[in-house]
Amino acid sequence: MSKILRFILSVFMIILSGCSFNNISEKRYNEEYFSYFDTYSVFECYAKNEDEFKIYSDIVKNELEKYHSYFDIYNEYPQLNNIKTVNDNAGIKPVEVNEEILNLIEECQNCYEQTEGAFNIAMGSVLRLWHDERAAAEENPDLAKLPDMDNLKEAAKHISFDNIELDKDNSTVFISDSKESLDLGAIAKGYAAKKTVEKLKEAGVDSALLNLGGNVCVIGKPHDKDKWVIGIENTDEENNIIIADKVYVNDTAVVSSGDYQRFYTVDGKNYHHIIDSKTLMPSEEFKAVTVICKDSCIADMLSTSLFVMPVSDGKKLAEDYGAEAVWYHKNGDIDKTSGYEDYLTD
Amino acid sequence: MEKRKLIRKIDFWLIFGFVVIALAFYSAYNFFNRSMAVKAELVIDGTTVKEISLSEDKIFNLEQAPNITFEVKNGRIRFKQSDCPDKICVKTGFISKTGQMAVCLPNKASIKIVGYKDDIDSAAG
Repeated sequence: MSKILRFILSVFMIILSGCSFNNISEKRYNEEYFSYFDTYSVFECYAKNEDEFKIYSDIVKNELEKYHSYFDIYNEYPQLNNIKTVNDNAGIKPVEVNEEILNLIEECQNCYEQTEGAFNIAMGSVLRLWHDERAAAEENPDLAKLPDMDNLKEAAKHISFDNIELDKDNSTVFISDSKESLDLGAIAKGYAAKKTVEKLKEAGVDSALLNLGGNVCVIGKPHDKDKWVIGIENTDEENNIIIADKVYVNDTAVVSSGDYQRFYTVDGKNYHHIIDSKTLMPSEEFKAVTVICKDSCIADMLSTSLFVMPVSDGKKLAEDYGAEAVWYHKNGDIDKTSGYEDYLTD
Repeated sequence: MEKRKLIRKIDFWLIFGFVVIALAFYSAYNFFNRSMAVKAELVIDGTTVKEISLSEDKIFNLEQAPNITFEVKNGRIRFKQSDCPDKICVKTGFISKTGQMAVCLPNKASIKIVGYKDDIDSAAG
């Protein structure tokens, strides 16, 4: 064989073997979690081997477990004052809480003002009535009924944020109204995702995806393409979940609020879990609202807020936070913020 | 003495052979990638217990989750029935796109559509 040919072949072989290097050195792993925030979570990440991935997935597990306990309103945990502790002491005494809980409640207070009450974590009393009816309906679907409107109105007298007293110096939270309670369900997952992603980055992870029950947060880019591709869900006429859009993102959160997963049926009509503080009923306008925002905590808060306010107000709010959003109306209409379309192409 | 050629006959066939093999691998890779497109992974308690093609309609149960009935129909899959109280899994309905998921929390069961690399990585919903 001529020398030239030998040379060409060697060059080819070197190039070809290079092609597969990327795939061999790091593999994509995933882990699932069933026990946190009453939802299903998936973590995906690249690692050299199973042992390395275990280090990262353990970080995720520990973080989710921690924040689940912080924001739990049903269970107590040893040596921890969580949201349940704060609620149990409503009208009784201030409760000392850790810095993260205190800071998040303060953040929620800002959001309450910014959204003019559309986002309100002090609606525990109202949400509890809906939750109880939904749980009872799950036990016995034939007896499913709506919460009594008089009871809802009575509960709604105790949802003002003015009754939440934060004392930064003493690290305490006090609910001055004994009938009022906190429910951080609309922001807990977003906050947990944000904090978990921060921890993963500290540990050196530069490419990962965390999905907390539809609350998606990504780090960097996948190895085989430039951006993560996240499906935006909506439902079709038969109420099957479809992927309505694909968005291409790096280092961003994509969060949806929808009426189609968590609901119960009374007299043939579906009642979902996102309650409008003005009507005290599930909001009727949208099937799904999705928010794209760097900050997963803000994205989560916004998706709930936008779900219970008119699109025009929502667009302004999204803009204030530098977020993009898409609204799927029940009548089939679609609304988008001006920058949303930029995410639809690679 | 024979004049030296740049490429001898044997070299030509060698190169030709390489190209054919490369093409064969390339098409095989593409073919398998595509045929993977309609497949669902059934995960019970963290373990993938079954991978099922969505090309054939069927209704079935799994030994590991006897209280759940799955259904494959027209290239889609769903939780048809479940003994769980909230029925969130059943309410999710049919799914069919890579990256989509349906989940039954109480039974720790999930269905995930897997396949194409160029499809979605995850779904917000």
